[in-house]
Formats: sequence, C-alpha cells, structure tokens
Amino acid sequence: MSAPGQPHVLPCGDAAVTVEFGREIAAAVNALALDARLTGIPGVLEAGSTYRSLPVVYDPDALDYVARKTALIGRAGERGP
Amino acid sequence: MTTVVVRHCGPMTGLQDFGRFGWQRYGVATSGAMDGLALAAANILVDNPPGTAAIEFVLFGGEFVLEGGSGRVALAGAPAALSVDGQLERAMTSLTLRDGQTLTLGAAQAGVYMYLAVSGGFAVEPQLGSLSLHRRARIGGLAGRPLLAGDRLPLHYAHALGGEELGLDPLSLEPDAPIRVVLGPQDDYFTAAGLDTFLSTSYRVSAEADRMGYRLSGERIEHALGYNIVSDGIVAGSVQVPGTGEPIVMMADRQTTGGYPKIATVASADLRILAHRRPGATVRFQSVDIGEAQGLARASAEVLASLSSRAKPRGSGLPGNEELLALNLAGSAVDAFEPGS
Repeated sequence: MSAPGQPHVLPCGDAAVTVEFGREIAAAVNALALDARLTGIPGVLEAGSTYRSLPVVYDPDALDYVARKTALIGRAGERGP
Repeated sequence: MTTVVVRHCGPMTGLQDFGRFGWQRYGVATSGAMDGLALAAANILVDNPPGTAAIEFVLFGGEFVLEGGSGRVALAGAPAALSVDGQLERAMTSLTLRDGQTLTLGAAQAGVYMYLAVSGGFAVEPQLGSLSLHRRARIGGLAGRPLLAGDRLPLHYAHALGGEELGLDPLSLEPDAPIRVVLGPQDDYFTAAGLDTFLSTSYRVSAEADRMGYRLSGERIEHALGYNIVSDGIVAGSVQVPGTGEPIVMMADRQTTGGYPKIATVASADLRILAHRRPGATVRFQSVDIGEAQGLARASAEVLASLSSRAKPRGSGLPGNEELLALNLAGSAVDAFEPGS
C-alpha cells in the first residue's frame, strides 16, 4: 500500500471513535499507531490499541463529535517521543 | 463484621460496578453493570455513590442471610419477587435487614438484570480499580468468579444507618422500543442492500447472549468487502457482522479488539434496553446521527443524576398512588361529582 497519509477518524457510536491509520498490517501504519499520543485531550477517557488503529473512548458531555474529531486528527499527526 | 452469606444464587451472579477503565490498551475488558441506571438506582436508595459495586443477578435470583449486624439493602432492575423472612417486600425501596434475616429473590419476571445494593458497599478488594467481575478473565468480583453457596461478602458498615426508607418509581425496560444505532465505523464494508436489511428487518436475541455479547438471528446482512478486517477496536455496543451475516452486539464483557467489520454502534443510552432483551426477544434497529445519539446520552446522564432528588421517603410501608393505580383497584369506580364520567 502507499505511505499512510492523514488518519481517518471514524465514529463508534456517541462516545467513541476509531482513529484509523490504515486498513492493513504494515510497518509504517503500525509505527503511526504506536506513536500516537491520544490521551491527555480533555474529555478523552481511554485509548485502546490495535495494529493499525486506535479506539478512543470519550465523554460526549465534554465535547461534541466534530470538535473531538478535529482535536484527534491534529494530535494523531503529531509524533511521540 | 457484618456479612452477607450466600445461601444459593443463579450461576452468573456476581459483583458489578460501573466498570474497569484505563486498561483496554492492555486488552483488559471494562465489564461493569449491564444496566448502569438500575445499579445507580439501587445504590441511591441506600445512600451510596451511584457506581458502588452491587450484586448483579442474571435472570435468576438467590437467597442471602445477613450475619453479625444490620444492613440496608435495595433491589432495582428487572422486576422479581422479593421477600424477607418469607414476607413479601418491594423492589425500588430500601429495606433494613436485622441480624439473621433472610432475603429471598425470585427469578426475573421480565427483562434480565437485577441489582442488590448494600448501604456502604462490600468490603472486597478491587482489582485494577474495580470490583466488576469478568468471569472469563477471572478478575474482579469475589475471588474472580461468580458467587457460590456459602460465600461470605463482608460489608463496610457494621450496622444500618437510621432514617426513613427511600423509594423510587420503577425503571422502564422498554421491551418494544427500537434500538438506536449510529452507523459505522465500517458501514462501507456492506452493500446498500445489506444496510437496508440491518435497519428494516427484525432480529431475535439468540441463545448465545451473555455479558460479553448478544448474538442475534435473522436475515443475513450482505457484505461488500468481505467479512474479515485487520483487527480494530471494539467498544460497548459495537455491532459486528461475521461471515454468517447475522449481527453480534458487543456488551460489557466484550474483548477489546475484533476482526469482523462493524456495521454500527448501539447508542450508549439504549445499551441497557438491549441488555434486558432475553433470548427470543425481538430487536429492531433504527439509525440516528451522532448528534442525536449524544443527546440521548446526555438525557440518560441527567436521569441518572436526578435519581437522588427523585428518591422519596416511603415510611408508611403502604403502596404509593402510582402503585395503587397500577393495580387498577378503581377501574370500575364511579365519580360521585361527575355522574356519567
């Protein structure tokens, strides 16, 4: 597959999203998933872990979906230490 | 020490609070009460914080003896016959048990999950921050397993606190309501016909339905891109569609990742409604957008937050007006002031 670009944020109901870096197992995709720092955003309760995407559970009372999506895309593009 | 002793109980009876959060990235399931609102109601009636661990019953009740002191308890959730030393008592009302009294709970008459809260809570050590039992992982609860005859559950309080007994109106189980879902995250893995099948036909809860997930039976949902994906996160209410084409709704004890595409996610407000559908019960899905589902979530959070202000003293022991109306005692009475009404 081509080099992964901007992550996709997909809805998982009213209180979670999946930040998807790719749909395949690939080193470049996995590196992004491993490096992403998605906790510490206000309203984010918990982030899970898979090879190629990160489920993120949030409090819908704290911020709505659109604001959440924008914050997550911004954060997901940053690389961890 | 004041202790609840288990004389007998159904095979899936266990402690549950609101769940075990912060460990999903290590593969640890959240667990937690299948009906969080009922758990909260039972706790509010005995003056506990709403997420205090209580005994969760699955279809079957049990019998318990209080030893070493007195204690205040309350039952909420699915309706069932409740008695103390053989005398019938009401659910959704706090009850004070004296040392040596026996509480007997019958099977659920409708719905599935019942919660017995004890004032002050159980003095049981949490695991990873929660008392919630995950049976398959053998974590939480008492010794990581469901309750068994002879088990002893110590209480934090030696004696029941005084004050009037509190009551709340019953919680609706909405047995016929559609289950609202938000489409995605992998709705693009299904054909338009498949999405239409999912939203326009009725499913039934199969015999394979437990705290982990509810496997439904009904018309096959057509996949467009195959039925395997690289494993992706699973959240409460994820609707996976495996190769059989029949949906599986993931519940409290779900695994943290899964490899089937997810056509939709059940609105968090409707998870407890789905949880109370028994094997054989009908499930219809209705698509809502995220904003609407978040509005439902806020409304249910408000209902939960309002429980403590809605709990009213029920000191007399007599049925309240609403209960009398429900009995329809006055169904054939005549209004003397308005003849003919």
